[in-house]
Amino acid sequence: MTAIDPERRLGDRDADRLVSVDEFVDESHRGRLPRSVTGWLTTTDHKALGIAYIVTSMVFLAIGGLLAGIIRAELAQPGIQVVSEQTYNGVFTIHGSVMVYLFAVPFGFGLANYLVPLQIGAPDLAFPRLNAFSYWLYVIGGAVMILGFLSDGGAAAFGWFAYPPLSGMSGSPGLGADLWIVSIILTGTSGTLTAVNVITTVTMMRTPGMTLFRMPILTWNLFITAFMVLLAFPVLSGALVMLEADRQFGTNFFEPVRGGSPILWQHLFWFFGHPEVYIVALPFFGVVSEILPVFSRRPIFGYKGLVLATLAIGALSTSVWAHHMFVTGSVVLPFFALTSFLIAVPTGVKVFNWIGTMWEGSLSFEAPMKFALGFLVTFVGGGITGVMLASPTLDFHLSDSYFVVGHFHYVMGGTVIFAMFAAIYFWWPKVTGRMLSERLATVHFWLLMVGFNMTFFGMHILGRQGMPRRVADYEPIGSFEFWNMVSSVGFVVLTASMVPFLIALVKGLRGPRTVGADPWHANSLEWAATSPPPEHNFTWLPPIRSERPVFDLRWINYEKIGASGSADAWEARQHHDDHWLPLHQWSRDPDEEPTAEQRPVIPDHDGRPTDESGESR
Amino acid sequence: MTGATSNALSAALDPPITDQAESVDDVWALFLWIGFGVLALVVGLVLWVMIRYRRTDGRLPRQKHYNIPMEITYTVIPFLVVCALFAVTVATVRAIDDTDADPDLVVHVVAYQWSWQFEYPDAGVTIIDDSDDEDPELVLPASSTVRFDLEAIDVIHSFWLTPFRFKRDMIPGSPSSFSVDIGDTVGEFPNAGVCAEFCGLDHTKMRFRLRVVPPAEFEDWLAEQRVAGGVVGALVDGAAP
Repeated sequence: MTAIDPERRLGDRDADRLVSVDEFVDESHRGRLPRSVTGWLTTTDHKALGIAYIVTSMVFLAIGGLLAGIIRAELAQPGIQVVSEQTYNGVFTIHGSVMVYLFAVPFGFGLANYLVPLQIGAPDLAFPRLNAFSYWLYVIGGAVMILGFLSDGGAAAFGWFAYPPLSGMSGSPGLGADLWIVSIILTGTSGTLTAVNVITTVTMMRTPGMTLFRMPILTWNLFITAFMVLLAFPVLSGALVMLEADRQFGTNFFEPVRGGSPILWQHLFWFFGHPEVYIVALPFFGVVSEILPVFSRRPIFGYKGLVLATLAIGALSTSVWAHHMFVTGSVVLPFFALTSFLIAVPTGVKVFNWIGTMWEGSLSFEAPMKFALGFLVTFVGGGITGVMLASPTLDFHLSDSYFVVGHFHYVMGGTVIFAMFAAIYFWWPKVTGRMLSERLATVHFWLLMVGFNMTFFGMHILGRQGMPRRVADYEPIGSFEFWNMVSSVGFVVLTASMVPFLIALVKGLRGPRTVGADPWHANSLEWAATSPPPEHNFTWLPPIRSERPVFDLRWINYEKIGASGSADAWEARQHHDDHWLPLHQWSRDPDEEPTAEQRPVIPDHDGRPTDESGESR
Repeated sequence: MTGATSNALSAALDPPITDQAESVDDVWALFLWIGFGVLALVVGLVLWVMIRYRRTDGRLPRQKHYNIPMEITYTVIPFLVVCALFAVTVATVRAIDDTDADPDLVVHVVAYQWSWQFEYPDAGVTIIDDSDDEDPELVLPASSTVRFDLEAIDVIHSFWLTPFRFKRDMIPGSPSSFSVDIGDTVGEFPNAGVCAEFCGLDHTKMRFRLRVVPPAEFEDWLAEQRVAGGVVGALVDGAAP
């Protein structure tokens, strides 16, 4: 029986109306970012660091994009026109390294920083200072890599997977190679520490009621990603230390002339390198799993199936690494072909779950939804070529060709870029308290869609027809000239798509903060905090009775729509607040001292919070 | 203009010239059609939901959380599809990734930064890259089984012959071999040979030409090379693995 009547809670107003989150949050508790340089240097606030991660990774995206521009300019026509071969080799190496190590992974960490505590109702990550340390390690590591361009002999020029003996002292004598190695060790360590932080936070700091299977899918994906980071990054760091020891301290791990094994490096690298692909992708799968339900007004379809699929991807991803080594002739082909094929199954399940979420929904196409749908289509394209590459029969021809370049730009480039913009448009109001222009977003989306596919689709054809990757020049035969030109023109369109985006950002930072707590009518807990959330995030939490606490709150007046027994939830909430909330009140603000009193739930007519009895405090 | 356009879009890829390459192309065609089918299915479903279920009023749609039979269906069907693709792969890969113990011809290929050397150990002939302008040429007899013994002497290279639809990495310190059954196609393939693994500064320029000649003509060519004394300047003598 309903012990506490929501109708009474909400005053004398219409019991059939939708509840607005804004009735519960205290607008005077908007969060502030550090205002000074010292503030930014010393902050341990997960939201400030999350923003710092995201902004820094976007700067690296711009640097990586600039390098990509040099590559596409050189390849627009056959011949050597723009840069020398030496420079070109450095450019594609740093392009790949920046995009993988300094953009895609840290952007995911930025999401984890900002959103995990908010989505599980925690005041911060478990280890805020460790978090700040990870961020600064990452910045320093990134700077070290870019500084390689200034070193004697130029930046590292051996590709982002640094196969020895080319990456050894005899193959790459310059300092740029050492800087590259040190840089990746630093960023790898940063990632490992962040993973520890995320795992501890999700394990220990979920607010009562937030069981594992009520966590948002994004938090689930970041949680599983963190385990994969713990498994993969230390292997890479260890291998890099071995490589650096080969270069500088006279060891012989990978130098064949003195009895080392280049194949050992490939195994170690790809044991990191393939989970890495999913470490990049899973957070963005999570982003889309958050956005599609909101704009479809449906719960995520097959929640447990999605979680199981993510777990299956995580598990399988550690056993597929040697498909990068089919052409070495020294791996067991059927085993790694089978595991690589199998990973298509949970990935396919995810795609169908996303479609199932939209099925029978009520779809609206605001900017986040456009980019999420763009992600879906692009990702399927990349997944299909991935299945082709999983077959050694085809891989013998396609490996190390432009087909592979096209493939991974669809799965790692397209997935990340589309889902990243979806995330930015979706959480921008939460982070800034303001909206981004829908009109500019539409222009941005279509330019990106056209530019992206123009740039990368033709690469599949080039590769199948025999163009190897990592070349500064190519023979003017058949359609090589045509597709390379299409790709370079496509890159111009892709770059142009950043113009409306940047205008939207600048416009979106001006003006007053007008956005309420829940502008999209979303589902997860971060939408129950003010926009932007205050220090330590929550002054109030809705009851958590399903994976959609904010949805349940909005629809609490309606039977059989929200979580089962949502009215009972109020009683449970009451119990929770009395017994547990004091433990979460870390604020020094005297008004928010730990208290066992009943928590405010609704504002009175003057907008001040009132307590249970309806009396103003 | 029309002619130039059709030329610009023509395939740069040479036709398959080995039995193995033909089987690769068959598998490629199969995967391509299945791939397009899956892409069409998913894009079709996405377009369908976008049109059919676009928001027309403010009502809340049915809140359906799961459908176990449906979820099992779309797990099992992809599983069966990839199992079939795996079976096709296993059935074909053995013949492609093959090393013949008793071939008609052995070619010992040496890769170095940044060119190739082709040695025919049975005939005592070695083709070296002695020209700045021209890529070295690999000559092979049609209608015969050829085994390639591969060796790299400095960094990792990769021996890719596009009409073979096959490549094999050449890892210093780990010689390897593969063999192919060349069909009866003869001809010149000036863009067939590519180093596919990035190997340093002039990786881009590390290419070779392929010429396939009738077996009788091949013997004449070998004899010619023997007289010309092509062994001079060889990097690695007949130490085939």
